[in-house]
Amino acid sequence: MRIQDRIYQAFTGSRPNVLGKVLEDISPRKATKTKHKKLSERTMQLIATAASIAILISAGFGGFAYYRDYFAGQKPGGDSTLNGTNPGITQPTTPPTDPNSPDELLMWIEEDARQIICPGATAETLPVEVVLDLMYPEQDRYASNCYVASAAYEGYHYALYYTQEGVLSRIGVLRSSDAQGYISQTVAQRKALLAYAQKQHGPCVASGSELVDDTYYKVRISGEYYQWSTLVYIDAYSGELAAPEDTADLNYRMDDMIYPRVLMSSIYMPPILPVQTVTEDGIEKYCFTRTENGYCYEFKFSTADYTLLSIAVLDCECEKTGHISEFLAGWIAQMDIDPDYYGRVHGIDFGLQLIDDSVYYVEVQHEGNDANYAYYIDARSGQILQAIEDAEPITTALEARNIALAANGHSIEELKDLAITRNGFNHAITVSYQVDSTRYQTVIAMFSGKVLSQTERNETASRGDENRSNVIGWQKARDIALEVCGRQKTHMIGFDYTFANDIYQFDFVFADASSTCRINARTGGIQNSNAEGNQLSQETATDIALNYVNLSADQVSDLTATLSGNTSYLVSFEANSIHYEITVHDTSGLILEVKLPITTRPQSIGFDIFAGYNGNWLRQGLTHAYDSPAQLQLAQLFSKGFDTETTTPTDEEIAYLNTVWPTDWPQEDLIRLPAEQMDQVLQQYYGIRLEELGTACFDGLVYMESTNCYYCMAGNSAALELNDIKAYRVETISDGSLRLYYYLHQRQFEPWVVTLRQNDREWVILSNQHLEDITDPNSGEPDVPDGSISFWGAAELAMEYTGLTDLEHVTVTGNRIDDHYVIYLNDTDILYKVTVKAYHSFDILDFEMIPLVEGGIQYKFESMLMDHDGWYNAAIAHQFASLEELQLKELFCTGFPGESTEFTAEELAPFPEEEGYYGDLIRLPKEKMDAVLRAYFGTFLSQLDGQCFAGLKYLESTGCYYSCVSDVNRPEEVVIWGAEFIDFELLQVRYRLSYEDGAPFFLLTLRYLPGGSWQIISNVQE
Amino acid sequence: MQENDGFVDCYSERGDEMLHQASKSDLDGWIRDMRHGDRDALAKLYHATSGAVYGYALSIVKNRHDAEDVLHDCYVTLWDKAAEYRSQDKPMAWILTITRNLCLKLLRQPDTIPLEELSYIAAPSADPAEAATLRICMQVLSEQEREIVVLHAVAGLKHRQIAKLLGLKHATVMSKYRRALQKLKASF
Repeated sequence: MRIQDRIYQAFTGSRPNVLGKVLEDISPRKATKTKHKKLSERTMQLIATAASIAILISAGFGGFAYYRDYFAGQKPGGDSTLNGTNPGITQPTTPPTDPNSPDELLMWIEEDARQIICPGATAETLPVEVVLDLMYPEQDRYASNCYVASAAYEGYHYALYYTQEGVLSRIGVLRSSDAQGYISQTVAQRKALLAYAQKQHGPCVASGSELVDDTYYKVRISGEYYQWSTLVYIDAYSGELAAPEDTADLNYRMDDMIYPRVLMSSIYMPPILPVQTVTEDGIEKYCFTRTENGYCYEFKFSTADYTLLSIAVLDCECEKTGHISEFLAGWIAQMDIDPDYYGRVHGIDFGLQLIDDSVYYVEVQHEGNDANYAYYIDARSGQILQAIEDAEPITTALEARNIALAANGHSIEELKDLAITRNGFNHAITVSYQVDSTRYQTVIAMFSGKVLSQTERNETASRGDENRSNVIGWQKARDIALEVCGRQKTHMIGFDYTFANDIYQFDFVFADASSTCRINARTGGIQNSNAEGNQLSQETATDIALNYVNLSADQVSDLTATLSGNTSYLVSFEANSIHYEITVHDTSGLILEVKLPITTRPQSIGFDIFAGYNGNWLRQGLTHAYDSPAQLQLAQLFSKGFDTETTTPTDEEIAYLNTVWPTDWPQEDLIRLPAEQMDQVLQQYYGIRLEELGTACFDGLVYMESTNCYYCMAGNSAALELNDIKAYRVETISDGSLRLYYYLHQRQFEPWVVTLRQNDREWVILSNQHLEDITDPNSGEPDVPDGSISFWGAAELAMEYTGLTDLEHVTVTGNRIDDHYVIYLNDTDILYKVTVKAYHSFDILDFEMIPLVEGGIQYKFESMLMDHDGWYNAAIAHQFASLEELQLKELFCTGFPGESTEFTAEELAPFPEEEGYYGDLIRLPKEKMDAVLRAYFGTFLSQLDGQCFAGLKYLESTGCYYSCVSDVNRPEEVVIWGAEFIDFELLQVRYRLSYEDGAPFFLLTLRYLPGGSWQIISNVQE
Repeated sequence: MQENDGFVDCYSERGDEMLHQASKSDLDGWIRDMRHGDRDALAKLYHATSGAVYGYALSIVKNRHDAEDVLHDCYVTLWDKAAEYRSQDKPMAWILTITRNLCLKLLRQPDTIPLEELSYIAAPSADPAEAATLRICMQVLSEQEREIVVLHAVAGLKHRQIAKLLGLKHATVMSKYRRALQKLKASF
């Protein structure tokens, strides 16, 4: 059972059932008193209050009063029972089928009765209507204090308000048509809705209407989520779709056809378009122009069927490129996927690229079904040239590499310096490599695999021009500026970038001094800088530095203060065997840097202080995290107990502990911790007394007063082996204490920080924390420039990129190499090697991803190497440091299936029977050997040295090699211990041939080939 | 990919009770119905989410009696607060936030007695393996690690959602979760 399932079971398996009590205890919903405001007399009048439905009916509504019984949950139809279950309110997703259909759903009212909102409708109510308030209603209103039914009667529609108890509290009425001989506004809206529904434009609502010239209604119809709207004209007398004016009709129809295609910034209100009719080439077209997103467009549609005929970009001041905007290209692609649903198709990621200045390549992912589409769209007319459905994304870097190689006509052997990066926003992959002195860069569309662009350049001529944006990035520029001006990031008050000449400008203020620095964005060079303020004296800088570490001049030696560069003093001195170097800004007096150079760090700090196993209380301090000694977990700290204490419990101890632990506690695991000794350790190594610790520190310990000892069971915290601690940085912090940054192999290379202080040459641990938990804003991951990501940040990105987000299946390992992280993600299905650049500017991060081992590394290689019929198993039966040392006799010692036919006299001749050869003779056809060598070793017989053929005899007449095998020694058991990439494609698998301790390790080196196969390079003992 | 509540994914795998049927929209719908006094909706919500609520409460208050109280109070609160609920596609996060607040309120009460005896956290009738698992979770994991593990394994929240709920960084949650699992693996 998985750990997660165990936890789930444990935490929920025996949960009590309190539902009955909850239902008992929930208070009946109290009908709060409605604040009955005085309602507009024009639209609503209070006409009655009644105590029951009977009164309602007797008031004359009769069968016209459709109401729905909330309590009985019954359909409308006159049932007046007011008991039962509230059926709730749902909103219809389809328009009504008939303008005069009866109530299907109820209206509800907001608490203060200002708004009546009708999610469903009677013949005389709107699908969504604000009766009393023109404020646009939210869709999630509810009635907390009363229920509302609606009714239609003689041209009026009514809202009937009920209390929780079923008492009819009041009735509102909306005057609509007033019997003028034409249909009511409501019915007009319903008609308009149906007209749209019939045109299959999906769910829509009427959001307003107006009677014009006493002849027709102008009804505004909007998409279900108000993502579009248009006007529909309804004859006020007949209720038919009307076109009262040619222009208006044209506008209506243009809206209708344009919006699916040209949905731009005016989402909520359609434009009133000055539409012209033009005739071109004998075809009548509607034509209109519109300016959006900096482009002036001219759209032409067929007057016959409203087909979009062309989009042109007019020559205007704002844009003269002649091609449509990326935005419009994206929308054209989206609308093509599902035009009937307007904005409900969300292309969540655009891969947009203008190819050859004439064609847009657009990728859209349908948010509903995750299908991918790729489009080629004419950049000038907006016409779709090609649409690719279900475009398959490229998932591996190697796949991209192979596409690039094929496009450029290169082979894998030729290339060097391969870099594969994913272009952050554009969903494209850039493959860059060098052949001879030429660097080839190929941009590939991620979904279609199409080559978008190919460039070549002479590498020797343009070396150093790798950065695609060719600017250093604002963070690097800022760091330069900080250095130049001697400021900190918090002092930056202004930042600007001048595109014209690629200059970053940074403004800083500290105390009364302000400064400005201008950095060349391409070279990082300082354009100019200026600062205001007076330079500090050497003495003042020294005082500031000493004061900062709380030392006086007589406590230090070798004190020097020199101007460093032109903006700061470097103050250095020795104190308590620690060499300090403090940089002080020469104008502001700001401490810029406090550092302890590695070369001068005291010998006493390092791994040696954590040496030893039992009894090293500093080492035990690394077992868990704590921000201060007051948070120590004593059960962890003392998990190995004291050497002086025998663990055999006395009868008294057993009797006592039986009262606090289950009686079958394992006595041999008991750890006895005398309080006095604990106190001594705590004082000496952690600077705290036992009595100063809170109760939380004693979690897991049992105290026995008569012995003055604490007791616990041997835990799993386990002191760590010394060689598992990999310290990588030591630094001093402001109070003179030291921080030792380290990784622990057992903790998957998580960065930890232990903070120590030296008291009389004894080290005291102040804290042991995860790096990420250090709150000091000035501390970051060591040796990592600001702006770079942490190991775990990189791992997170790698996991997100590979889709391996569920950590329970993924083992994350890796390391930082120079300016990038190499992260291995090993889940049950696949092993990924992801290279993540540690430094990033803006939002772009580059990845390399190589899925290497399907089936999981351990499973994969164990099954591969233990297949006794397979050639990998045969290969590891002997050692060879290179293929020159391969022993074919060993490799092919079991022969080939089907080659066990009777040997001819000619074949037997070289192997006399008296020498005992016959029984073990094997026949090895040259072709079969070559096939194996080619497939599994990437070589041929003809390429192997003579020493590889030792023990084989070749018979030219049969084309076979022969060998007498005395012993077949294929490995029976293979235990994989790990695997590591030693090159881009070379994987070194570490394994043993036995589970037994002391069994030697072997290293099998394999080369990964496209398609998922592995070539054997060497097999040697470690 | 649209981020979802996480709840559906989790329970569609587990097939536990009616949870496999409970989608985010189901939860939303039930809460909406509760506004109108629908007790059936409350019952459905209870059946669908009580495991997560109880498990999460148990992970914080560390004893089953308090967790039971929180379980009860949580659904009474949900009933009373249903009117205030605004669907933001995160019904489970809302429920667990209420759960957490109730737990913290309980722990702040001076008369709350911290449980000394760890075996007490499991029901007397509980399976010994369950009891052992609970004990290990309580002993080995820190408060925050336990919360994270339970929110993921029991309530089915994604790490990103847990980060939001607990006010932690996403990377912190991931690393703490992984550390917690390693601790548990070593202890089981």
